[in-house]
Amino acid sequence: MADKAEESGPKPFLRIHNISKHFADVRAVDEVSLDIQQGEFFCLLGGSGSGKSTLLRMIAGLETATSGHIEIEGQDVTNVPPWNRPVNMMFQSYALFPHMNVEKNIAFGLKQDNWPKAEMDARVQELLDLVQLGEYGKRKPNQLSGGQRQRVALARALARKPKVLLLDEPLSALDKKLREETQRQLVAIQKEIGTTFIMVTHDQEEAMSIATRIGVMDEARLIQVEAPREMYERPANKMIAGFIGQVNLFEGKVSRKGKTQTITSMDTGSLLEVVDNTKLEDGQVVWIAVRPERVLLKTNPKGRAANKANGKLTDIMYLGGITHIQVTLDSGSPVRITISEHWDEDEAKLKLGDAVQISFEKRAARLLVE
Amino acid sequence: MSKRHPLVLLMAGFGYAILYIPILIMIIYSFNSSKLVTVWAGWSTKWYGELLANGQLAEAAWISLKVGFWSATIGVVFGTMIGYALARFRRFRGKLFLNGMATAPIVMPEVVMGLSLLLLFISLENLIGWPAGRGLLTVIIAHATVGMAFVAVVIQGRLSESDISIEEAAMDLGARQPYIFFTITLPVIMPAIIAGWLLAFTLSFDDLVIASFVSGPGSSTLPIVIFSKVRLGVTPEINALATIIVAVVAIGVIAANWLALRSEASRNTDDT
Repeated sequence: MADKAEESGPKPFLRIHNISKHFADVRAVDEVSLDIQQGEFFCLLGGSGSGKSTLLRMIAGLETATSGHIEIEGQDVTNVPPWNRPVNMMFQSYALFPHMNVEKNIAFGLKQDNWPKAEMDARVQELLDLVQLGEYGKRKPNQLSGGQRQRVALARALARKPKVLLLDEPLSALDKKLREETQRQLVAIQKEIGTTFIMVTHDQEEAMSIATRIGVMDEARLIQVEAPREMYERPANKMIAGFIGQVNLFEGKVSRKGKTQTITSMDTGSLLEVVDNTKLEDGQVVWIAVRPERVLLKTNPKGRAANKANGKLTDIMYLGGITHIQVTLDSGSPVRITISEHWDEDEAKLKLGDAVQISFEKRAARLLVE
Repeated sequence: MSKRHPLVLLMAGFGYAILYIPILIMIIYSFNSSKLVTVWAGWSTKWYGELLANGQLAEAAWISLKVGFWSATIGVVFGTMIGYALARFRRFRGKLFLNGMATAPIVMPEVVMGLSLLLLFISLENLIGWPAGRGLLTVIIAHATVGMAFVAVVIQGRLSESDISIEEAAMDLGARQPYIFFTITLPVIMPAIIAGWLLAFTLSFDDLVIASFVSGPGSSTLPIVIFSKVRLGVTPEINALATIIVAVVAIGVIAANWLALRSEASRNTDDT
């Protein structure tokens, strides 16, 4: 959770403390706190207007914080101008200097730091090799493909050996195939050099496949910070459950009698059981989230029990390796199911309109209160 | 449209004919050997020779070139500054007002510009004794004022289309202003600056109205001299001179267009 940032422990590498940014009346970033450790590949995930890019730009120093502060290795850099910060940024548009060739682009930052010529040339060559552009040093940006420009931008941002590399949607301009390949390269490069990376993205799959930890932002606030697997298994709220992967949400009402609490769902028409000790109020409305691949399907509906519901098969989408199925429950609510194994004979005979029963184990269900 | 309709061709032909036939006739008559402008008497280049021998016209041409060069140069420096401020600075109080003010001289009648500048020069001379009288300097200042407005519009357009993040990237990589302006911004907008210069030069070279208000003895530009000569009757010499001007202006316009196209082409490949 966001407030974990306040916990004491080993001094964090990068500490963002209660930072806010207001543009006139608009709160772009609202009291965000976040600790990032050395060597992490951190992804800031959120929709457009969630404040993720503004947060990144504040770390770079391109926006000044309205309140709060930022520390890098214990040094307060909140009011340090961008040219003096030990961070570099890779821009969404790449922002390559169009009138300079690849080598001069990469060397620009080194020139500002007055590197001796010989060392500068060696460093540029080293970076060109790192991003596999050894032959392209003399080319101008407009003579390169999109993927090559992306790598030049990466090399240029890494040239000054920043303590933190900021990446603003670095892959959004690439087509799908190239993007997946580039994701792998990015992770490999990050492992090789060990620099802390903070990447902004709106693509949850990208964040899941790349990040060591993900921070989800929504409406200027940081909602949840977690490793990808934990984020998927234990989303903090409905928004995140739906944003990270697909999810079935069953609405339920709590009834309390003494120490026992039960949740009854109108969607499934049955009791809902979860492994969760959260104390709930009598009459409180909650949601039970179940991932499509954890919903079980039975062909002969009989009986009523907790975490079970009857319905009709309304859609089958066979994709080879996996099959997406939609069941419409008797209550009218749709349930999505993903089956990845081969179908057995009974299931293979299923056709649209057949009566089926869905169920899920209580360990597969996650209780959400908001 | 893969196939052009004949009507479209006809309309285009008619439009261009109206624009260029008078100029073509003037060019042809500049090679007329007759002393009478309207009577054709065979090919000759003698009026070009006489033109070169005419000291007054040659002097006026030299003045016009000087005025054009300096006013365009001054106009480019100030116009670039205005264009940069209007395109790059975040909203500041009075930005919209300033924006309108910078472009007003473009739509202002030249008579108003000329008269107001003349009054300014006179009051300045009375107050601080500079500029002393009307001459080359006042014409240059007047033309720079108008040229500046045009340059500002061109530069602002170019800058607001270009990616501000290249300047941020330079800042992020350790550079500071004004270094960023001279090493990053200026090279990127250079085609627009050159196009703006050519535009300002052409405007100055063409201008008759403002120049006639603010010029003084010894600073008669070419349009002033031509105009005063034409009042006494058109001579074939004037045809020859006008032909040369057409050639110079055409080269300037073609160069400006070519630069604009080239910068657009490089911008398009940037985006892919």
